[in-house]
Amino acid sequence: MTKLEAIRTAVNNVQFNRFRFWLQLFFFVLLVYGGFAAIDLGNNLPTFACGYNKEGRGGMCYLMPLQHQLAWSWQKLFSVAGLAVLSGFAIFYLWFIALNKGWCGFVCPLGTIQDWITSLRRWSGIRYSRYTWGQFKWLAQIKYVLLALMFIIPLGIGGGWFQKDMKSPFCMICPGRTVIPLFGGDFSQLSLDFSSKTNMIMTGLGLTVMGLFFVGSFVKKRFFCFYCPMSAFHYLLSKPALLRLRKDGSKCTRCGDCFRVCDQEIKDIADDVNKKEIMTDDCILCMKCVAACPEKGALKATFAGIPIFESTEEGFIKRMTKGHSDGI
Amino acid sequence: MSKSKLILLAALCGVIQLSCADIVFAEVLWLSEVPPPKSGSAAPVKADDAQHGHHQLAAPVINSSAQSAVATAPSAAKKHNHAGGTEVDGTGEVVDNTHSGSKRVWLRRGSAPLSSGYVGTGRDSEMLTMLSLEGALPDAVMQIENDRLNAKIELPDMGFYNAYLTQTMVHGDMLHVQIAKAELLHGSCSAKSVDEEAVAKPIINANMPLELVREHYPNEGLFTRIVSGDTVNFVVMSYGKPVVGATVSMTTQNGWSSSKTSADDGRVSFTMIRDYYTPWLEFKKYHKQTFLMTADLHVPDKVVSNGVVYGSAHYTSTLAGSYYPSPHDYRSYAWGLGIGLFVIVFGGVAIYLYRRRRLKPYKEVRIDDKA
Repeated sequence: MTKLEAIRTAVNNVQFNRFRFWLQLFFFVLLVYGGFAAIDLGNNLPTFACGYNKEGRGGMCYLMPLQHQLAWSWQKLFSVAGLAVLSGFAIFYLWFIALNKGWCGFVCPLGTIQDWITSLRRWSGIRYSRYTWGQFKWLAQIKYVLLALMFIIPLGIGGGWFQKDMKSPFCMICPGRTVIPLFGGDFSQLSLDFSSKTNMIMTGLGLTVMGLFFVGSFVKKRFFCFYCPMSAFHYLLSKPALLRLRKDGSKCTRCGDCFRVCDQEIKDIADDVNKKEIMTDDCILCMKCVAACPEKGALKATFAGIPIFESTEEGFIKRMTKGHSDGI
Repeated sequence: MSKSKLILLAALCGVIQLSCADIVFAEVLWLSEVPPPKSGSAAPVKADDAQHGHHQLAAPVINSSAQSAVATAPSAAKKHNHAGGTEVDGTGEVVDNTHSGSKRVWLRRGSAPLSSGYVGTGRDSEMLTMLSLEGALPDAVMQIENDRLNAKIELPDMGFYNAYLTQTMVHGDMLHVQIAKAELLHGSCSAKSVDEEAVAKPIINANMPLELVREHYPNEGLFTRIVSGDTVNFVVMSYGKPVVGATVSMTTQNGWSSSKTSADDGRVSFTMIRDYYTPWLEFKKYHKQTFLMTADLHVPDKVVSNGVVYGSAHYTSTLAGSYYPSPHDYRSYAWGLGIGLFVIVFGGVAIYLYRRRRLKPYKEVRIDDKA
């Protein structure tokens, strides 16, 4: 066995859920507390490093500056100043291309919090919920509606159609705004803003979504990711991404293990044996499906075309025997 | 004319002169970041007209234009084509322009922020002495635009900058120096690469005969705002040293005024009052109000200025600032947490009941062998 093969075997046999837990924790600390160590990854990150976490954030979610910029007056937006929007998007895109939706599965602090809530539910012995296929189909559209509104409302503000209080409409309802600053000891986002009707409604909606986030995440794995407009935005831009999830349908036995471990309940991962690029719009590239697949090479994660983690029988058996309950 | 009439006339002239002198001291000069209304009550004050009374009392030391007391090498201010400065939105609210590195200040005269007039023609090419944390910057030139004297200032880096406009006059044997100071801020709520606490320190000008320095909050950053209810500390300084016993007054935008005397360490504290009362539908949390600080110091002893000896001196220093409504006026944690908890409890109970309803109770099936 060559050195490279030995490394590949070691990677494929990794205790994946444990590895993912520590990686998520690392990114959580980096993005939620990194600011205290003067870490700043910029304002264009393709993940919910919330800008409302003023002191501790180690970078900022791109959706916040994007909405701010789109709310500029049209005269400004479609002038030279618009180059700032394009340059911001270019930086966001470069970040995104590297990890694709792996930003959701490994980096997103809000996703990590949901995984911790899931662990709490599992520890308490309460069973989780799943959507019916009918519910899944129509609920999956919500993220696109939110994405469209996230563009339309700020642009409408710039055009004078909406009040300026609606600036950053998605941030106002995003649970990241209310939840992530709590980890830095900032409770200010838990208040209702009565300064105007718009602010009252938006902050009220935000707190309602926060309540739903906690309840939903407790009974449904990655509850909010299903409705996340960032996820939809990622998917629309994912064509040239370097990190990819591939499936070899000829090796798939349709055992359904991948579907059972999928937090997002994506049926295609098990059913579709024709597509090579198996990542769907709801996928968070958590790679749990790869770790749970017993067929060698049926599922694999590639980076710039190079396989970095693939399903093997040996890895499957090692993971099942060592940590049979974690993550599933 | 009879002797008694002459005495009466002389007394009348004395009263008028005293009144004029009072006006001179009351009508202070200050630098404002609030632009003049396009059509409003704050009509421009012609500097020549405003100075008319001064000329009657005593001519300014330098006739052509008042000079900066702190002599710095005059240099050409950068010219910029793009518009700078604060804007007023459609509802009349002053739009916050902290993000912008391009500022504009207007020279105003009067002790009440709202009714003070914008100084108009007659004082063109006056210099604003600029100071940053790192030291002196090139002076900015005051220019007349739309009959208002103003200066466009470029702030290169994030942080605070001080702008000073000094006018010197002589009343008899008394030197009267007016120092209008503006504390300008170029900040950003997203500039994490900037050490905010390091660049958000107040700047003290050791060359100023009288200066009001606002003590910044312990954790003040580039986007910290003064709000109603805050206690704001100022230090009265003269040539970089604290001044004891100077009279300091604060006047808020709506005319509330309070005067205090500086303590042993030159410090004086004011609590920002709440004076923004409006119907809820018209309330704006970004309603920016101006407050004006004025410090007066009378030096009865001989003073030497630019090589000339004066019998006494009177210094007036102004500093304008802004404050906003307190979040306590419009934010409610009780309602916020109430909504969040209600959704959590209601949602939790709803899910529990939904699951219970779908739970199929255990049914024992008995097979009747005889059937």
